[in-house]
Amino acid sequence: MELPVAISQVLNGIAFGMLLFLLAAGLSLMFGLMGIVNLAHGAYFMVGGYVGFTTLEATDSFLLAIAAGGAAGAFLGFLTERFFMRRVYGLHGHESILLTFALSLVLSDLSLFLWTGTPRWVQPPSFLDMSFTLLGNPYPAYRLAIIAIGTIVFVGLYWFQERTLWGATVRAGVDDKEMATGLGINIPLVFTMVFCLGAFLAGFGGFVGAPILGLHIGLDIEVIMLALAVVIVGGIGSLTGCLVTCLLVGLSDTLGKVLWPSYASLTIYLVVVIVLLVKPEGLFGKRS
Amino acid sequence: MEKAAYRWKSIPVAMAGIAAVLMVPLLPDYAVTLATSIIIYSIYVTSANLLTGYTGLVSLGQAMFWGSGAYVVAILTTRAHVTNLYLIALICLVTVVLLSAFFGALALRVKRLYFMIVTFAFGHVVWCIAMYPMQRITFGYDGIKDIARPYLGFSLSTASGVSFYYFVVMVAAICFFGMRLVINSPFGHALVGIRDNEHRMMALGYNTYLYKYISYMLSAVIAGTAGALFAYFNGYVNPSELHWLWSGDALMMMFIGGVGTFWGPLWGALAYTGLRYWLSSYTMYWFGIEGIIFICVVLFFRGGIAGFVGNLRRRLSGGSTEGR
Repeated sequence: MELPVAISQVLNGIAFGMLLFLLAAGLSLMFGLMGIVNLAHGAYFMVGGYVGFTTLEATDSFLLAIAAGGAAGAFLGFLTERFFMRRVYGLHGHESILLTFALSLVLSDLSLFLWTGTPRWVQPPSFLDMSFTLLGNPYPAYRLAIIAIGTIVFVGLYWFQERTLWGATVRAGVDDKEMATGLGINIPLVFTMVFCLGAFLAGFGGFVGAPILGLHIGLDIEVIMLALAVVIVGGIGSLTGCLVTCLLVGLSDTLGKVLWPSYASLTIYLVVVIVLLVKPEGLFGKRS
Repeated sequence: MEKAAYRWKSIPVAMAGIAAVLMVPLLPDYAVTLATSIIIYSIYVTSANLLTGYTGLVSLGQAMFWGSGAYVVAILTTRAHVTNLYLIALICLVTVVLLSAFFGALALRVKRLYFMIVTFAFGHVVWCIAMYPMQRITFGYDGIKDIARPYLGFSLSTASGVSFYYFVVMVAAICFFGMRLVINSPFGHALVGIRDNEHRMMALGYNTYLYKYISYMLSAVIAGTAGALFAYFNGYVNPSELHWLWSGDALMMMFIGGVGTFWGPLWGALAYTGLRYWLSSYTMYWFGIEGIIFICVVLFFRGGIAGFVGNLRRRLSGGSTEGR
């Protein structure tokens, strides 16, 4: 592979990793706080993308479409938490997986009904619909914008988690729910907020990613499988760990597709297996 | 006393059940086909039930064993032209035991939700391996077709739908009987103990890892048996047999039927297959409807059909339902 091509592939990998981060940040936070794995998270991503697509068609405003995608995700997250997940907290733990799996089936068929099976493509907004020249090769500006957005979200989340009272509340909940409740923290409210925030990021990511991933039925499952791999490999607990793992997975997926096209989807899961053998709590997880 | 009375009462029910199963071939052909698939699925769901219902391990990787059973049969009969059913069964058994011994040893290093995700990841790895590196043998997405029905020896052929149905019933009877023996044995009781409180079982001196490991392999063997039957039944095997969505379906059928109950898998397979057969002629949104049913089961009928029937029977017999 020539150097310019290699560089653009690496950038592609980073951009994809950033999209994964938008998805996995919420997933790993929910896992840490509530001990649930939300398999419907990929569906928020896909539905967010579709809602953004429809909004873009109706209003012709890309920013409004992004907001609509995020809002759709947050709304779905709110519904999931409030009306479904609340009933299964504290049970064995597999109920939540089965419930969210069922929800994702429903959301996927609902999307099939509303947006049909035709794959949709979204054009990047006009002010980003151009390309830079990198070492003589053109590179689309939109992918660089995704990298920038991912970075901004990471910094924002980091600031939120480490520097604000809300973040401290969430961290308290992750560490010790009973103690946090004892200190007067409204844990059910924190759960709902975290769910909405995670789902917002997923829906937001779904539309932001639409110009490069496209929108099609089955996207939900493709992304959730990668995000699950991220959560296992990275372990729960640190936002930085989540970002690093996302970039690793994004890079290995993209480079894998270029270097060994037929083994691409295998590479990530081999990494998962190896990490679990060597360090079952994940690369950045705390040993519990 | 009460138990003995219950035994006597259950004899007519059992007789009626056996008669119903044996009389299915009097129905039209499509019903025989449907019944065959239901029985095969119930074997598959029983394998998940042994693992989840009795051992407390939720696996999202059962399709790996179902699919490998199916693919071994498909490859041996169509590519290697092996016709001896017993040889094929032996090779299936060895394959599934080796696979489960390998993946079980790895997956059981982690617990609870991680176990579920890890079995899912393993299932996906096996799916990918079957799809790409082994594409020459498995024909990738095209799948393998033209699998002939097995010849049992003693000039017994299973080429017709009815004879194959009886063959499946026989294998299912062996599986269910074996399952009954396992769960009523000290080993089975230890599994339930591990499901309910693993630490206590450890304190009692049980090597819980070994118990879970054996349970995992047993369940893989049952799933592989079901998959092998399915390959013969369908005459065609494709990658969806290995796909994790099919593992998810096992869990669905199990939860619909009733987790940790002996006949739950049969009820679950019956309800699932019947509903799918009936609904698919009306709508293409089968998955969504399946999802809605499943949400209702998880939220409102956690005991599934078996739990519901059990409650109903207790209520009808005038017994107290308190304390349940």
